[in-house]
Amino acid sequence: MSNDARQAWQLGWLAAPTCIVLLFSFVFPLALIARYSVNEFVPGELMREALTPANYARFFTDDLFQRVFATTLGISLASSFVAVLVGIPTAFALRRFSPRWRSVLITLLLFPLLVVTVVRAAGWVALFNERGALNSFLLALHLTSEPVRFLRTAPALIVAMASSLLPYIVISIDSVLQSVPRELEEAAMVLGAPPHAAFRHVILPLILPGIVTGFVLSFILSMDAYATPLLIGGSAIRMMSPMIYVQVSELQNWPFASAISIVLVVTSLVVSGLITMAATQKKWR
Amino acid sequence: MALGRVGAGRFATSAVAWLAYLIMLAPIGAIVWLSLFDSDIIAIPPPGYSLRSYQSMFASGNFIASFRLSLVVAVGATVISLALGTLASIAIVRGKFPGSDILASVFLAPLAVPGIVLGLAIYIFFFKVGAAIGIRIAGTMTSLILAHVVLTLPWTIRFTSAGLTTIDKNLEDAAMTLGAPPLRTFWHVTFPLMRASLVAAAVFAFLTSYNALEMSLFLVGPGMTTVPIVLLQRVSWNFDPSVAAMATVQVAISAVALIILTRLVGAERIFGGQRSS
Repeated sequence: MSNDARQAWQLGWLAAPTCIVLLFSFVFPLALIARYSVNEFVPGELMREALTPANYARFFTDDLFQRVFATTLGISLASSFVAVLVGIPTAFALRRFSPRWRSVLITLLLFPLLVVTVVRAAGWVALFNERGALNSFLLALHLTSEPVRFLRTAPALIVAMASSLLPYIVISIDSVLQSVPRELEEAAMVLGAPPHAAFRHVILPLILPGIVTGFVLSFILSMDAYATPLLIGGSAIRMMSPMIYVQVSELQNWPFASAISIVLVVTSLVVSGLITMAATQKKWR
Repeated sequence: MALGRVGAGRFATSAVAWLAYLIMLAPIGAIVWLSLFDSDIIAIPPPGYSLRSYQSMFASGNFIASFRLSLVVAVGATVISLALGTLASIAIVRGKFPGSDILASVFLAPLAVPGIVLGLAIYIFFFKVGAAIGIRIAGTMTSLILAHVVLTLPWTIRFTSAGLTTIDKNLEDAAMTLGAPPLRTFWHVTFPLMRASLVAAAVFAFLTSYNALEMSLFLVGPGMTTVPIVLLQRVSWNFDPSVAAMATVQVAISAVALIILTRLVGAERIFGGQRSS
């Protein structure tokens, strides 16, 4: 081995401290909850060592948890879908600005991403509250005679979630749009294609990879969402992440919380894999 | 006629884009607005505007304690993860050893696990290890910092390895050929060249840790809570203008971080298509 090659090989040891930290606070902990997810929960004595599928069976058969699972999937798909619907035109609108304005608008887009979710969710609570900004506005304009209940409804939760997913969607569509000439769409329409056909047959196939990336990322992020479902959905619309916390903080049920965690991770991966596969196989032309 | 359609299409996309920016920024605007209410409760329209809520925020010992804890944890996690991340980046960018590519993607893996799951796993593991060796680990500041290191490491590795990749390796080789030992070369050649990406990594790591909610939920205890958790509790139980003031401080910190990051790495490359959260 030459001196250089040996040195390059030895440099690898610099990763050792990081590997040790990740081993002890990432790999081992995750392996431990995977193991605990098949343990038996005994009220009063935390848990008993076992190899039982009971926790998983309970999650998929109990009415309450079936509903939580379906709600988590439904709200995540709906929020990602709404974000894509709003995000596509936004990404197109962004390309009409001069580079200077464009970078201002991209920066504004990134700003919500850096503001912690709980603050944005709190903002939505202030807007959606019974005596919140939106209701004051509707009442002042006599559009409604009594306050509308927004909080603890699915549409409000979907709007709040979609708003926090929008930046990701716009960024991922914007990055594929860079390679689509601006004139392409207008050319198709000038040649007589109706706008929807021009979009469907010319533009959509080109930006589809960006849409899929954005959608999958949004879906995973919504599946993981904690603060927004808790503050907007409350007790009416319950999702999996807050459920994991409740299982530990109120019931000390480690095995069941571990099982929900594993289901959450696996479902995110499987569903996003399926979406990616379906989108890349389908013929769009 | 076709051009008329183009015009209508442009109008429609612009309208949707305005709506998109409205729903992205409205909740943040609402929080800042609320924090200026001259009132003890949130009533719209407010009786007037003042900075009263900021006074009551700073007068509350609970708020101050959580600010202090969040700051200490964020600084601790940033320092550790910056040191570890820089070393790891040198290893995967400059080193050539079997499996270095796999290692590079393993280092980003914590980003793919939901915060609440990672938080639960670390809590249970620390609790069990602590019980086995007879030292309380879960629920201490050390455990909180360690958990936040895991959360911030993917980002410090991403920023520093991006910085390292752009540095011409010949400069390092030249210094070493001229007789500088590796450590000296790093300190006098590599380090100054990657300063911008180190600052960006530090800013992003700090913000990630300072904003971390799910990761900390299980690890905090009575009398030891971080700002995002206090915010979550107060918004659900006792949402008043002083809570909005505290949230506005978070907004301000994020704005400063965004300005620094945009200057250092450019707006479009902060996330680089990767997930955060």
